[in-house]
Amino acid sequence: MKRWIVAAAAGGVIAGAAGATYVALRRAEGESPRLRALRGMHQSLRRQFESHLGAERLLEQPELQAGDITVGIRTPYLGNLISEVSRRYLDRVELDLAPNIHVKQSGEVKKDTFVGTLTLGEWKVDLDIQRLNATLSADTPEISVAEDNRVRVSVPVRCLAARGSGRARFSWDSKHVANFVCKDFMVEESLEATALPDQYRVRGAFSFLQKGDNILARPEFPPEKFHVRVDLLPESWQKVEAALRAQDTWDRCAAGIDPPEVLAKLRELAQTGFDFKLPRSLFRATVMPAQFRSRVDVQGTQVDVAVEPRALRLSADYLWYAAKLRAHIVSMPPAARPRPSPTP
Amino acid sequence: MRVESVHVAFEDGFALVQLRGRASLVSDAQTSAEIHLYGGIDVVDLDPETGILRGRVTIFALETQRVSLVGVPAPVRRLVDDLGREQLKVFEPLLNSIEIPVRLEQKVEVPAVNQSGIKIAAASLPVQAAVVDVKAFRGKLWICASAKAEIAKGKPR
Repeated sequence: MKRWIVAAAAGGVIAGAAGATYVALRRAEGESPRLRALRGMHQSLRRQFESHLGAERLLEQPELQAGDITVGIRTPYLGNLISEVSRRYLDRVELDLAPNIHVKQSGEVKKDTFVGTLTLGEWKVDLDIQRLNATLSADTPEISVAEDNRVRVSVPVRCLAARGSGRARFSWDSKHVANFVCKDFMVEESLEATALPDQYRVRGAFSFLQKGDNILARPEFPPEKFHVRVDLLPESWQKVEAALRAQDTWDRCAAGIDPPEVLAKLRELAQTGFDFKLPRSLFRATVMPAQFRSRVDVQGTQVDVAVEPRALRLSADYLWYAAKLRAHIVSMPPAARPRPSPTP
Repeated sequence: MRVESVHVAFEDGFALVQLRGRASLVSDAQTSAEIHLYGGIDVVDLDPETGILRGRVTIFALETQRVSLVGVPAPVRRLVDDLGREQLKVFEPLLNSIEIPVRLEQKVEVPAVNQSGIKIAAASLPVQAAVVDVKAFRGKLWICASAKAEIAKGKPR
């Protein structure tokens, strides 16, 4: 078998050499000096051209041979594009959410007496945030190329304005001796709060993939908690203060419950803040600016093109995607349909 | 005229398109000649409306391969050759425009969101794309396009 291959190759070489000699002789006979000079120049230019191509690193990319069509987009350009689109898109995000956030805090009130330190009672604050309206704005994201055809994104997001509403319950539970003389109570009020200005970083990635004819940058932002600090609106503070002062009587242990002290605790609790998850649907897939087409028109004839993805790779320099194409004629214009007797 | 096959070669800096077909007389379909038309994809345009890349083929040569006519082959052959030499543009409608199955988008868009309490307006970034160079070598047609987007400079706001 091996011998046969060698023989066949030798035969081919001999036949090729004979053919080339014949063609060269025939050319030499019939060709003008100018044509011969032009042929020489062509061969010289071709060698130079191949030498230049050999030095071009871009042409060594394996994706260029991966399919019938390869598209390459410079990664820095792509990064700028994603940054700008994200910045424009997230320039103003309005949230109207029912976040169902619960915050709890409790503490004890102690008093020094002639028999030692006595715990007079325990207070508890339950804060339920039922509604959150916020306006967020993103600045230009930072983008870097990551593994697995991804770009890592870090988006600075500012909370321009936020307002929450909910209910706060303050309860007092007397202990020890105070239990005999003080009454327990609970105050519940509807409150409104505003978020303190803050800046956050939303981190995630866009992964590139081919879906049908489209190359998409698909967002992948893991659930991440962001800390929001709030302060009650002045009207809400007034309501809380009035409710506490209403309890500031001797029979309700006024000695233990000092409204300014409790208000300070509440303020501290609000400003400690709570964790909040940004909805994942905030981010959307972005279609890349160069796409394959599944139908083309050739001289009025519709040709379906089956796009079969072959390669997709993101490097620091380029996003490459390649596809194999199979054409299938869908419709032909009347003039192009074969006729029984063709005419000039 | 009927084109029966097309051969394309992208080598030596030239995108050669060779059409092989048959020309016959309207009055006598049996009087026919096998012809080869040679053209080149010399321009690739980008349609600004659709972003479709379109190549234009210019015909620059006609070659008659074989003439079959019972009795008088030579006059018909001369007729077909003369026709080809004189009016090459006549053949251009055979394949003067080829759409390349790649579309360059004129803008990058992200649709609006109004669901689950999130409201975000749609965003659009216009992209000015243009073909800057077309080369044919190593069996491929290389189309270089430039794309400019209105990208903000520096740190915003």
